[in-house]
Amino acid sequence: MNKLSRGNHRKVAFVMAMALVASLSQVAPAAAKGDDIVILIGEKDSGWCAQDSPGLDQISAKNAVAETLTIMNEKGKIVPYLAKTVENSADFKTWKFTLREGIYFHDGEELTAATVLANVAANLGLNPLIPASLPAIAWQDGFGGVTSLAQFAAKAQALGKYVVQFNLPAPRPLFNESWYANGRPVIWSTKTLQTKACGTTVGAGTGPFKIRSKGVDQFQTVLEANPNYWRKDAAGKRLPKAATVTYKVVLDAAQRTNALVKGQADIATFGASSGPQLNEMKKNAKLVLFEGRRDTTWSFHMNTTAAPFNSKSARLAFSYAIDREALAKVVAKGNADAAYCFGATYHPYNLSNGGKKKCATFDLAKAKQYVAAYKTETGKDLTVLLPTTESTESAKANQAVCNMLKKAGAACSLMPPVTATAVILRGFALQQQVSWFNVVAGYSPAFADLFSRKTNLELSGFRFTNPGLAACFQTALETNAAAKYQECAAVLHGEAYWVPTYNEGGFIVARNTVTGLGETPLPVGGKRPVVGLSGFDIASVKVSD
Amino acid sequence: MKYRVALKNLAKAVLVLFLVTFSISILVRWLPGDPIEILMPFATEEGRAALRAELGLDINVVQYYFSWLFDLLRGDFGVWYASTGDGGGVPVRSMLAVALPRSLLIMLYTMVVSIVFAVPLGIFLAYRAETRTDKTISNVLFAVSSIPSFAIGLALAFVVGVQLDLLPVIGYVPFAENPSEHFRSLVMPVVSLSIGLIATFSRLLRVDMIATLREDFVTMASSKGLSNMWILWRHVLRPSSSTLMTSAALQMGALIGGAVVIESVFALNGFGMLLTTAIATRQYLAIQSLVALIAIAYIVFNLIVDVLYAVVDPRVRGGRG
Amino acid sequence: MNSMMSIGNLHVRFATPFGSLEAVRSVDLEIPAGASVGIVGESGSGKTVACRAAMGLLSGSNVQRDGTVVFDGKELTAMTREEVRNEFGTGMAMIFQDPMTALNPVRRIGTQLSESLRLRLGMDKKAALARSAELLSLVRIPDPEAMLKKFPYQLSGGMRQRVMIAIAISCNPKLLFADEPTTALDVTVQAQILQLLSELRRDLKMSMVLITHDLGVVANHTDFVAVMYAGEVVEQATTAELFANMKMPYTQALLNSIPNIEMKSGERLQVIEGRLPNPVDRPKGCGFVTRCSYAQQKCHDEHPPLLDAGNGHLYRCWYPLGHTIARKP
Repeated sequence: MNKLSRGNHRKVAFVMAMALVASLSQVAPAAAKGDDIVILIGEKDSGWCAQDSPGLDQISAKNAVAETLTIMNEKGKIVPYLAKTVENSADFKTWKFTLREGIYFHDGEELTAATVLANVAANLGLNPLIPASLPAIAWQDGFGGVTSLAQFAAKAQALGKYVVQFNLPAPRPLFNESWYANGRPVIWSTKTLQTKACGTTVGAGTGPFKIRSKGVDQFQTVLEANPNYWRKDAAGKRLPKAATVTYKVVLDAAQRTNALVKGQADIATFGASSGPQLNEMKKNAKLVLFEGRRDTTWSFHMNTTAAPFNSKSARLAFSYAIDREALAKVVAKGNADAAYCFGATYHPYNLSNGGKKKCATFDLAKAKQYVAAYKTETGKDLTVLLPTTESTESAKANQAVCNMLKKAGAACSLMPPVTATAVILRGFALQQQVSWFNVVAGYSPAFADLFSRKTNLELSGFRFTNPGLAACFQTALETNAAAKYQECAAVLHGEAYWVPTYNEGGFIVARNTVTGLGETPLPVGGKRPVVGLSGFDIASVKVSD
Repeated sequence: MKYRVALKNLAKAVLVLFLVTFSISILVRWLPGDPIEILMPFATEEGRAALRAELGLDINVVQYYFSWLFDLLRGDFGVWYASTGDGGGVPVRSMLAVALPRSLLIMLYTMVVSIVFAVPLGIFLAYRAETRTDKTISNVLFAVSSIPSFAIGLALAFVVGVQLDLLPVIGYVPFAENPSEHFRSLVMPVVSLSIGLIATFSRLLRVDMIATLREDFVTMASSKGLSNMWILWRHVLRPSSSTLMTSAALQMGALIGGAVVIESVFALNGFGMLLTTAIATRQYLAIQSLVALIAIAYIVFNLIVDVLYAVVDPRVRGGRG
Repeated sequence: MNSMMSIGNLHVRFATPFGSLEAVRSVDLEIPAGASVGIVGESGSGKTVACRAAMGLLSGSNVQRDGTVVFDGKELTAMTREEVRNEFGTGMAMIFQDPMTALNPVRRIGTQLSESLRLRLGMDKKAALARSAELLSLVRIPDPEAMLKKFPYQLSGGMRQRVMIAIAISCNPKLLFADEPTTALDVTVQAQILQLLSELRRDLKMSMVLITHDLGVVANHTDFVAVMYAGEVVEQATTAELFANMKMPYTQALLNSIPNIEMKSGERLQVIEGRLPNPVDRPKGCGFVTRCSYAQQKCHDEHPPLLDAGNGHLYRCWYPLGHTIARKP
């Protein structure tokens, strides 16, 4: 037996070795050429359907496939998109969306009022295949609680083939923005909504690309051009320009950088926390960096239902202890701004009066004072436990925060690292003292609103137990009055329910061979921002040889 | 005689599998946090009750264990709950279909490469035992074996991948899709994992070979006028390989679930990544199934090594005279 | 008489953590062609080391060998390792003491036997296996074809020793070292193996060195005897002369330690009292002095030289047997 099998082993080994040599001797392939674009994103590409609440990176992929009724232009204004016009009554309770005609889904269905209604029903959690979730609860809030299709029919009707009308129980001045919500409530075809796999492995939208394959492990999504895409470029030519787009998930920012520098990818997304990589890439002539406006606020959201942050002293101690300039430097290496108030100066919640005023300050003496006050109040030392994710950036940033708290006399340690999703979910489950995450502020309060009101959302991890403040924000939302927002925000900051740390804009880094980023005209004029809150417009992107 | 030994080994394997999977069922219940809150914070009461039933939290551990085991034996590895917390999800099996083959291949290539390099190196060191060459190389190997594989991976990715632009720095290409790209995509991960193993394996082999070199039969072989190379490869290697094989079997098991850092560095997204994510996001059903698979892998690799022992050492085959 | 091997002034030293250990001291030995020479001594007396050193089988950085060894007209001590290796198997061969450990446990008998034929004699595989079977029948192993496929652990001790002999003689060596070839075997098997060796030596016209601690074996199977003690040759003569005219008290003590068939059961075998001297720190005088019943003060003070009784009978003793010295009480 020996001789024969040994001979065969040798042969196999030889063939394998030859294969290896042959494969190594090939020249490494250059960047994907021409029509095939490779985009690296930093978080797993989760589901896209109504029940899912994907992160920013995933949304840029999701929005290449499916689109929203309204969209934000480069000036931060919400404009009609799949809808041709959006009209509202003076009391902001009746909203009429007239759809563009002749838009078709990837599966051949035409976009009609019926499709939109099916999507709203799904968003409201009325589709038995698509269970209730965070977005569903948000929609329920707007519709004042809809638990049956009969109730739904009373509040949303089709007026003709292309017109949908919503009758809301309370004023919702920002209802048109709910239809953008940073790219989340996309319109799927009816068939898509009738499958449980909706948005996970299948999904027909109206976007410039259709799904070729979407990995069940959520690490790779391959899209191919939609030949019947409705938008045209400035010269009236057919879009999209690329034939395929491959989204690959590469969790490690350094590896995304490597792959980009090497030309294994054409475009990659980064957060400000990848500061070292960003600074490195800025020096590379082959790469072009695009930064979004720094209006996404990273803040600590206190869990006021439990010790220690049910105590105002503890919250203020925390807020005063944080040296925001130092933190922004540690985390983002110059790619983010210290934030003392929530949002950028143009956000309605922002109280800085054009940057002249601070809502929170770094003051070590006051921090120490409040640590002592906490001790007097409760008889206990202030002990903070910070959640961390597995990334080295997270560990570094949290360690920096911990050190600042220690300087103020509080005890601080880090929780064992878990994934970012788990941090958020634990926040929901009230298993953390605080959550440190970003609320996309943008231009309007529509999104921050989801987190700031005491509503039936029960966003428990981010909740503060202050019915008065919730009512304040409710009024502000219904009137959309700037003064009211400011009044509420003053309480929010005064109580240190939220402790803003720094503001960042997302980064998109492209090789200099990439053209057409953010160039596609919107049907109502203008363009989308190159780096927007819902990713970037991929329709005109192409890679030159 | 032989069959009794085989049966005994098999019985042991089944027992180990039972113990591992059962303790995992218990351990999973001990993880902090209410799984229902974590998996579906937004679900309705009915949804929660359904999930509670699916996770077996409403029945005792023993009952639950057997229903889970029964599902596993039928190839039902459970559901991977979506991160949205609504109770939806995809079958763990379909996640495995993606992750497992690549992890197995990485493990296989790593083992082949490690052994192919470690064996000649170990033989050389044993042959030169206690000389300055041996001492120098052994010390270097000791140092190398303590470098974490991800450090090697990151260095390789930067130097070989980016600076020299020779190999892709991210991603996995299936063999069927493009064989040459398949190998190219795995060169750096496999090398990163292999370097430490080569150091470990060659040092193990060196020690065993030095012991074997003192055996009479080696002197006997020399007295026959055989060349040193012949003696080392044909007479000394096989009787010296049992520690190496045992260690290799353990490493094979470890590589299936434990290559997570390298999987992350090179964006390979294999089994290790799946398991890590499962634990972090409290995928109770998935954790149990994946750990069971690792236990099975360990057992299978150990059985393979038992068979290899018998191939390598005929005394094992016949029961010692 | 032609010389097959001539060993001159052989020294073997091992470097140990406790100092240099001289295992073989100034050994001179002639092995005439066609003759059988016995080397006798206790374990630790240096007989095995001396033979392995003469052959060139000792290796390792801690071994130092001095002296000259001329084998078949060629000076081994002046040759490279590779050249010496070329003499192995075809020129010199060795049978080891313990057949349990001297055969590779993981290789088949046929492989171990035929590999020297293939590598040393250049036979092809088929011819080598055929020749192997012949060799096995030569050493009286029944059903040699089946034996080729077996592993060592499947054989009895006697069978293994026969296999080892077959391996040793496979390339027709001129000189065969047999290092305690029967020590590990049953008494009944011992006689058969020794008989086999003697017959093979005669039939194949080999010279042989028979290393043993058993003077009885020497008496029946050798032409010359050298007795070794503490690394030195202490007595050397033709076998007939030695037994007729024993000079050394040590040799006599060895003779008394042979188990005798005529001994009554329960009767204790006479063993040599005391221990070998510490090889790292040797006494100044005779190495046997502490154990010798005839020792005098001179034995403590002066190392005895190798003396010639006149007929080639060499001995190393101030007061050899037959000398009129009173035995100590």
